[in-house]
Amino acid sequence: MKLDPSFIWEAFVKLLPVIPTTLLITVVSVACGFVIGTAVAFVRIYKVPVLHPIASAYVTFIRGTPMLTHLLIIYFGLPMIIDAVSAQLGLGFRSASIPMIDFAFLAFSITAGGYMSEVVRSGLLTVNRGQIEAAYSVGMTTPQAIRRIVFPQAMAASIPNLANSFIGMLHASTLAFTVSVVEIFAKAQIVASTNWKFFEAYLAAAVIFWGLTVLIERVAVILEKRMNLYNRGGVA
Amino acid sequence: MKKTMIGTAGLALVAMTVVATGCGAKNDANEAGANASGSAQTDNASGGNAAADVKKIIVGTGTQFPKVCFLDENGKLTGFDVELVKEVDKRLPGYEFEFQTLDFSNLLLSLETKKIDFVAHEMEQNPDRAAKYLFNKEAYAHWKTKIIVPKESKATFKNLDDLKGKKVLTTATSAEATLLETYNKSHDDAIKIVYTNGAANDTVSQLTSGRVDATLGADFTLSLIDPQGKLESVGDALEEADVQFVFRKDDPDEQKLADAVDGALKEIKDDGTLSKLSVQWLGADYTQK
Repeated sequence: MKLDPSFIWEAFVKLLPVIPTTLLITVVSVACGFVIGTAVAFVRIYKVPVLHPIASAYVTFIRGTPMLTHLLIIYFGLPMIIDAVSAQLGLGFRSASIPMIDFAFLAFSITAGGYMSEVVRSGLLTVNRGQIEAAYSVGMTTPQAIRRIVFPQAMAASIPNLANSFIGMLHASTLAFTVSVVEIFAKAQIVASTNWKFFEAYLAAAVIFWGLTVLIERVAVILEKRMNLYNRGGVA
Repeated sequence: MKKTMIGTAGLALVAMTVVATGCGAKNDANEAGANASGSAQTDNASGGNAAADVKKIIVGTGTQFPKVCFLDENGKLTGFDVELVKEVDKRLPGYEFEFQTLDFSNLLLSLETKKIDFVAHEMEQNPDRAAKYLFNKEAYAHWKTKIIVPKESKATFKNLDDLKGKKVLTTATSAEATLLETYNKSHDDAIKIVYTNGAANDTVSQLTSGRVDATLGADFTLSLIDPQGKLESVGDALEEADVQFVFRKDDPDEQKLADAVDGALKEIKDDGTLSKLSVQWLGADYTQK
């Protein structure tokens, strides 16, 4: 097996322009996933009637099926529903005008939400119940107590796991190519399709993914330090 | 901090290369071992006759190409390429072929790392590819690549120039992708290429929903990707390609194998078996130029 180092570099340069696509998919899905996950975590912790079993079902379904399945269900299922509804109402809107990347955004957000709800839940559980009682005793309402006391501490405890989810979604974003969205890994295949130097292209993609991961790790460290400022010494 | 990061990345690259080379070496050893034990077994079975010379060859192919290499309803690997390789095997007493199915884009890497000995997957030759791999001399099929459009669009594209400004769907690792890219290189990216990895099998739905205007494909593949006949091919043949087996380059054993395969292939061609296989699997004789 012969390696062509110059092509690794050539592929690396050609992969750079698609980094924003990968990052966009990751950031959008993690951000939406975080919102979904937080809502689901609260619903499950406070056992909100009616919503509680739905939230549990959502988490077990998402974690129990592959991410590719979510993407394909959204990609094939959603247009059917949209077109049927649109025809029924005579809107003249065709699902073909939805950009492909939106299917990836939606599907990956749903996936990320399932996993991140557990991350947020574990963070919320680290905050001692006594703290919320203490908050009540100084006259705070439940939303106040959660916003000012519980949530900041829960976030600080969740940062390592959230970074984990973020990195996981970064790498999982390669699945977006299934719906014709060209991200880093897809571009690596495209770059290599004329000369079949796939290994070199994959190495270049690996270097980029690692670089991005290192960046995320650094940001997570900074965030963790900042959010744990409250916890400097003293009695926990 | 930036400096350290670049340093780390460089280090990683070196580490990976070392690992890669290491893997290659290990596979060599493995293969040698496997071959040795393989022939030893034959020795025992045949009591040390001439059969001891039978060499085991691993043939790499895929399962995602209907009628060429695919799993039939009983889960059996079959198709034009598969049956042809079996026919070649029958005529080469010195070799024993065994199939190994892999993803398309991993086939060539596996060939280079000696996990398989040659590739049978309707591979088209082009100069870039020929520089890196060894192709046998006898082509066993000839493709005519054409433009494919949805029937109801009534589009009348004649050649690539007519596709300027249109969205054209193609599989990332295919010969059609190379064709489009080569055109775009000399025509200022005039064609909007939409890539897919084929995993969603959505060619027909992308075309009929109007997401893309056209795709390119070999003439015989149309009935395979579109059994319901919603698509049609239009215009001139954009490219005629020779389909061959792919071997490792700069490897005397591989050259010997390629020559042997060529010999058998010539026989299969001359006695009409090849045309028969083509009609049986591909619906017409695509083996003549």
